[in-house]
Amino acid sequence: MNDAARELAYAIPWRTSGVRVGAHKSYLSGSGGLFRDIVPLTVFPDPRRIAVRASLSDPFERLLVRRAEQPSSIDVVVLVDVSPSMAFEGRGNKMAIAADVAEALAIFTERTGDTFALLPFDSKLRHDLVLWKTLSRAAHLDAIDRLRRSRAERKGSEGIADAGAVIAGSRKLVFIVSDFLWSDAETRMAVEALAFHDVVPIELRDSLEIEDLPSWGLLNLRDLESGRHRLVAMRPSLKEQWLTLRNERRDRITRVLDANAREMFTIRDSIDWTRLTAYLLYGIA
Amino acid sequence: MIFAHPIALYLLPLMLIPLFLGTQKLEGYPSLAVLPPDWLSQALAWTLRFAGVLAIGGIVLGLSGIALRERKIERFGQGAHIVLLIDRSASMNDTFAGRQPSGAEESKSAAAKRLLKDFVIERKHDRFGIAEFSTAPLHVVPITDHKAMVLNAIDAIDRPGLAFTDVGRGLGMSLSMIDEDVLPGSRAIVLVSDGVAVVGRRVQEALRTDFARRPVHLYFLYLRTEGSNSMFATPPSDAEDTPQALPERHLNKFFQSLRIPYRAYEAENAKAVKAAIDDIGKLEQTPIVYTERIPQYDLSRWAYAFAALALALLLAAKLCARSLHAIPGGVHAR
Repeated sequence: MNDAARELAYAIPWRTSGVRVGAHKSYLSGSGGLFRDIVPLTVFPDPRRIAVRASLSDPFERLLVRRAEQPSSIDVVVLVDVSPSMAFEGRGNKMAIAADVAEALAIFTERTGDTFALLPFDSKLRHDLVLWKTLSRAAHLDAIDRLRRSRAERKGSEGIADAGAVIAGSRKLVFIVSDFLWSDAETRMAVEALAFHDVVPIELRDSLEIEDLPSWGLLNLRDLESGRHRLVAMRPSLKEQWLTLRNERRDRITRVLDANAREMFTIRDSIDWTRLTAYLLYGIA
Repeated sequence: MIFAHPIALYLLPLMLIPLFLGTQKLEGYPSLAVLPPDWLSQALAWTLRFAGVLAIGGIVLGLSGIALRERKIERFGQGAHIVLLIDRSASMNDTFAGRQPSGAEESKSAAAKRLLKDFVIERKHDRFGIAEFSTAPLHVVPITDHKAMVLNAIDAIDRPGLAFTDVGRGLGMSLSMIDEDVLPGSRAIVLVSDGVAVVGRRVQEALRTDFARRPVHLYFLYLRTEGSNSMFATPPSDAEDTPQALPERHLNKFFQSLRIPYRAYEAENAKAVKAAIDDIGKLEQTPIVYTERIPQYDLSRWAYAFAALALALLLAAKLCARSLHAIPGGVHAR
């Protein structure tokens, strides 16, 4: 965990309805911070903030009070795909990268006072790895450590629907860390389950999956997801075809996700924390 | 199909291993779901699988000593069963000119040997037997289809011979050889001689009955030495015309009187011998049944060869295999 990871930050482009004091825009108003509006004292009975000039110039001769923005905390949920395909080790280790991202996010929630929940899923929720929403730093570290050492159990990603049910309610910031090697139906289900939240898809890719495959040679591959063996006589034309198919699949997935999520952020091989932070703060990478 | 060590066949089920277990080290790949199998890879995968099966199967069959059983096949061909009755008297070792062979001149027996060998080699479907006669008849080779044996026997006919020429008993022996031969087919005796002695009257009678009993073609190839009597020539009236004086002429007459298909050839040189033999070959073209013997054939070398081929294929595949983790910078380091 380097310093850049500790500097990771995120912002939300919406107002939270959370009532706990925190660092994000909310519908609450308070007495300090950014000026928001001027209301009669009867609406906001805080005589310390009486706006003298506004009161004097009020044609109705009411006593007016300044109101300020009150930032609130939000709930951050990190959904981590722990299906077998995430166990791929190429240029990077996908599970390690996922754990790194979760850890960096956990650190920022601690700094801003947001709650942090970690919900690893495959075809169901992985209850042995789940961290329900909490402010406890020790619990965060423990959960991330368990995630780092976890092994894939079941294939599939339908568990994201369970996760959606668990975090239903007020709007939350939801990160999905996955390789997104999903079927269209699974993706659509994920989008529907998380429809009310601010969804941030973070895709983990490895250049050894397609781009850095050897152009010639025999590859003995085992599909981590289905366990099937396949001998592949790799040649430039086939590599080209694979790349096309893979990109088509990714396009299909993003088209579905784009309906209700932020633009997908892709981590290839290793994490560029600056880019990730820029993406999370400003929406552009 | 026979096996020298059939116990090795218990290992044969090992052949199925490559069908169920991979032969190569597998590497995890996130998802192949959207990547359809391509025909080349699939064909190669099955080829390698069967190469594995073939390699194990070939080695096991090779160990078990697989071989084809010896077989006999009955075939129809053109030819005959021929007994070569060859004169081994000392005069056969002279040239056609009646001299000791020297330089370019070959002896009668050497010419006969050469030409008869060609004849035997040419006549694929004939069965040959060999009898010889000089002072007494010699049973050399019974009627057989072992060509090598016949050829070796013919090779031996230019060994130095003995003095006399007992053609009558030689013929008797040939006939008895024909009696022993049970396979169907036309039979012939080729008598090769360079001068005969008198056939006694009692022997003549015995031969007459013997020849009458069975259909035999008779060919008399007379290797005439220069200056000796022709068997076809009628002697002048003042000359003595007795078997003692002109034995060949009288033998010829005797054969003609047997009322069997008979032909006489008189040859004064190798060329004439060749022509006579060709003529005999043309005449002896009746259909016969002959058995072809196909010896036991060792298939284990083929089994090993196939196994080696399959192993070479597998080795080539192994050498072509690329590992994702062998690519520089491939493995994640944390």
